[in-house]
Amino acid sequence: MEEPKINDIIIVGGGTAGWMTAAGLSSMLGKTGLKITLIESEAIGIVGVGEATLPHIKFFNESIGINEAEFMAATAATFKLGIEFVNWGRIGDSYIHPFGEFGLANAGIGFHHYWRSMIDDEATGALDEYSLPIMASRMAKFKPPSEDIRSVHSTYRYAYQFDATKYAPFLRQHGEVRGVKRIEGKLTQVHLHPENGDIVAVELENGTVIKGDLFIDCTGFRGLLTQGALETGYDEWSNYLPCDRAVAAPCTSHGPLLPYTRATADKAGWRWRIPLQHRTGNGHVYSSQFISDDDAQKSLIDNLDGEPLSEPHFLRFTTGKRKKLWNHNCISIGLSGGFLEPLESTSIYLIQEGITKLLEYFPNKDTLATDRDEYNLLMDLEFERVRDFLILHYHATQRDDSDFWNYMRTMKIPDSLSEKMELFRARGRVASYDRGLFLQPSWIAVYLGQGIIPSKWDDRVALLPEKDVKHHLAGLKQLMRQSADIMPSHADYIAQYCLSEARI
Amino acid sequence: MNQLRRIMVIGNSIEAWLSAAYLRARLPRNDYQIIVIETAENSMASSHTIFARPSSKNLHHILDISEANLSRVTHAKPALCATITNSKGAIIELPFGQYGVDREGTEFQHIWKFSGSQQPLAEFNLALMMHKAGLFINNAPKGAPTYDYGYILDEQGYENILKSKASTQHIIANSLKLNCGNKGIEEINCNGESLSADLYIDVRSNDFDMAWNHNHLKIMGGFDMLDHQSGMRLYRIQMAMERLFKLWPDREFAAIEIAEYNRLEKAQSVHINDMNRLLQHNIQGCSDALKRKIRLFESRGRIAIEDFEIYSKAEWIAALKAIGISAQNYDRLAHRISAEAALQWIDQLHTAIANLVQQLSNKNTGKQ
Ligand SMILES: Cc1cc2nc3c(=O)[nH]c(=O)nc-3n(C[C@H](O)[C@H](O)[C@H](O)COP(=O)(O)OP(=O)(O)OC[C@H]3O[C@@H](n4cnc5c(N)ncnc54)[C@H](O)[C@@H]3O)c2cc1C
Repeated sequence: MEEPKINDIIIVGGGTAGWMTAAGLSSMLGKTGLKITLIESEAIGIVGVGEATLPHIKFFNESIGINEAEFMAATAATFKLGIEFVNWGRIGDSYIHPFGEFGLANAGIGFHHYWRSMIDDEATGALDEYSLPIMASRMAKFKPPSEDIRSVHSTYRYAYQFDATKYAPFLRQHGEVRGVKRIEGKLTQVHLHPENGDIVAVELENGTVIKGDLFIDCTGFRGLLTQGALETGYDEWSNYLPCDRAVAAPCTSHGPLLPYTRATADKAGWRWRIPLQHRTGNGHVYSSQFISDDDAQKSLIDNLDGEPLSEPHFLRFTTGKRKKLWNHNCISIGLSGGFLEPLESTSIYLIQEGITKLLEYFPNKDTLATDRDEYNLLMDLEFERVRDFLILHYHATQRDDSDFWNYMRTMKIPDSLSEKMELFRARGRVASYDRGLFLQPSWIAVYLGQGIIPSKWDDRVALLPEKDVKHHLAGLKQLMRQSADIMPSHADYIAQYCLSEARI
Repeated sequence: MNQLRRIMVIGNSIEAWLSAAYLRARLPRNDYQIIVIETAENSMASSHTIFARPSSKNLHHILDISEANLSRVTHAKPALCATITNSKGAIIELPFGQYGVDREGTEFQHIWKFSGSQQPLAEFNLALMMHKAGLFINNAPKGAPTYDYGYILDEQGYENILKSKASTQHIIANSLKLNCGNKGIEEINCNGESLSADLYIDVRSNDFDMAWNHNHLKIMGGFDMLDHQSGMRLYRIQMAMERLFKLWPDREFAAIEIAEYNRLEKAQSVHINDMNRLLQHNIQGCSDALKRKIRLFESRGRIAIEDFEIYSKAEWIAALKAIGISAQNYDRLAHRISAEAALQWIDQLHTAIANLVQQLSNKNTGKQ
């Protein structure tokens, strides 16, 4: 019997989501006879923001055969060792959420317990001083991690900061070489099956009708297939994450090239600063309930490090996710599937997860329902776990200087998060789970950075004489500082490894 | 001072001594007193052996029990799979090694199904094949399907090692009464004498809603033959101890930490119950997690992975196949190679595994 294979995939949208999907599917399934067509409209364009990433993207690029140096040069990318949060817990505070570990566990007890037991001692210093990626970030240094697990240089990972307008075109070349057919045109209509409601074809402005077996909606916030045609619905999370607008404006680079993104809390949201090779990306994410567009723009422009390079660009969004990321024979990947705001650079990660899970649960026509249910279950879990982590940043604050922060500080949060916070507050324990993006060190960095200091710590710390603990801490601090110190500067490393033409 | 200082383990045999040995290994002798209250009840019909899953290697590392010592005192025999005889008399082998070798990001069972190979899937599992032939070598040769191994141990010998590792005070309880209140155990009456501790670890339980309540931590110790054969008897204690040490309490016993322990314990119990249901061919009214596993496997031979999984994919595949559930289809990724190339590769792998087993048999070097 002939296998009821899916043969024709239609991707609508050629932004980061569309071209990442096309590149991922063509690399992994191109050889299986799958035909991939991507429709995009240059007239409509892409959102063009989304410059900071998480370390997982390195794996995505590698798995589709992308050469790192070429990719970095093409997208004017820099390395990213973490995210600095300024003014979040209180005005004047700053901490870095690093892509790596803190200190060294001892006798099965997490390092932060030893650190917590000694915070009253001035010599102990901030937790940041016990993390190599943080020390390197502060010194504007970079070197790829070592593969030797005995080396302290193996205790971190890295991501990229890149020009969002250049990543999709770079992937386009990659996808087209692997057989992705690109159609320029504007989608105007979606044809549904009269009985089962599945999408059978999409129609373009010029009348061309394109049929397919499986449709990927990468049309951005519009969600033309999933919402426009299938009316999937949206779970709004704006009660937890009320920021709903952003204004973006790049500026000239200023100062040393930093290997991290900065997120500075503002009166009714926060401002990002992302250093690229040729410029700095900036934006202000805010809640329109609490600040006007004009004031948001003014705060952005007043705080730029360099000269503005273009007119400010406004964007609107609603935080949340589609009720079903895969509905009928249509999968929403990228902004069409949902948006949790860019605070922890999770959107491109969620695109990547969407692609990986689609590959894992790639359907046949007769197994679609089972694959779809599993996909939705796993992706919902990803979104929810990311959501809780983001809320933590806003909620665990002592700021009371604006209505926005008063709302965030006192709002009701999901039970899943309040239990996690209570557990940490009690004795510095991080709730365990296997699946989900953020692991223990990330939670520790943000809990402590936001000012949740556990009232107690693991009792067994006291088994080590205090002088030994102090000695251990002092040794580690020195190790981190010295190890960061010997790294090359981030700018030098970039210059010899992947200098972009945009910069030259 | 709020620290726990005195810990009582209540129970007998392997369960009690393993708990005590684990506590002893992780807690400095000068700071913590560990007392075993050895009870009389027998938790199961003795089979004279104990089955240890591969994860017991980690346990033995913590307890500082070398493989040589284990082998000398318990006549330890390596086990490449868990062999279960269920209540209907069916024998099911859960392998500690993968089926075949994954290729180009595609799991083997999909390529096997796609190729239309007539060779049974089990014949691509080196662990199972060596087990059937009574063979053992420590590591799979390069390119062959990988595996790990557990042990079959002499129960008395193992108990002796654990006792010596625990090397702790013990009281034989001819009579024992636990006086429980809202806040766990208030005191215990043992042989007419009142005794107390900061934490009571009770390894006799086989029926409880809450694993940990204030100072009373219950670990599933009453078990059936299935638990014994699948290695859960040791594994439950190992897991409970690992969880306890992750959430090491003080005398206030923070409710939130205890809730976290109970959450993790419950999640793992679901996996054990699910596997036991499969092994007993009893899936009527099973958990949603097991329904999901069955649905996904039936559709495409995929194994759904949950948080805090215990069993490997290969073990789930073996258990699902044993009750007659087979995959109707395979992953699309299998199509990355042509059907002919897949079949040729599969045949080569089959021959290589069969030859390896034959060579080992001929040399007679690998006899268990
Ligand atoms: C303010 C802000 C900051 C962000 N920062 C980050 C960050 O730092 N890190 C991160 O990971 N993510 C970030 N994101 C998210 C990130 O920008 C997106 O996840 C990413 O760009 C993917 O967008 P997309 O491809 O889904 O949508 P888009 O870029 O909007 O692409 C939509 C595509 O659909 C096409 N299209 C639309 N309508 C039609 C039509 N009718 N016919 C044909 N084609 C059509 C368009 O032409 C376009 O090609 C940010 C988002 C915002 C709003």
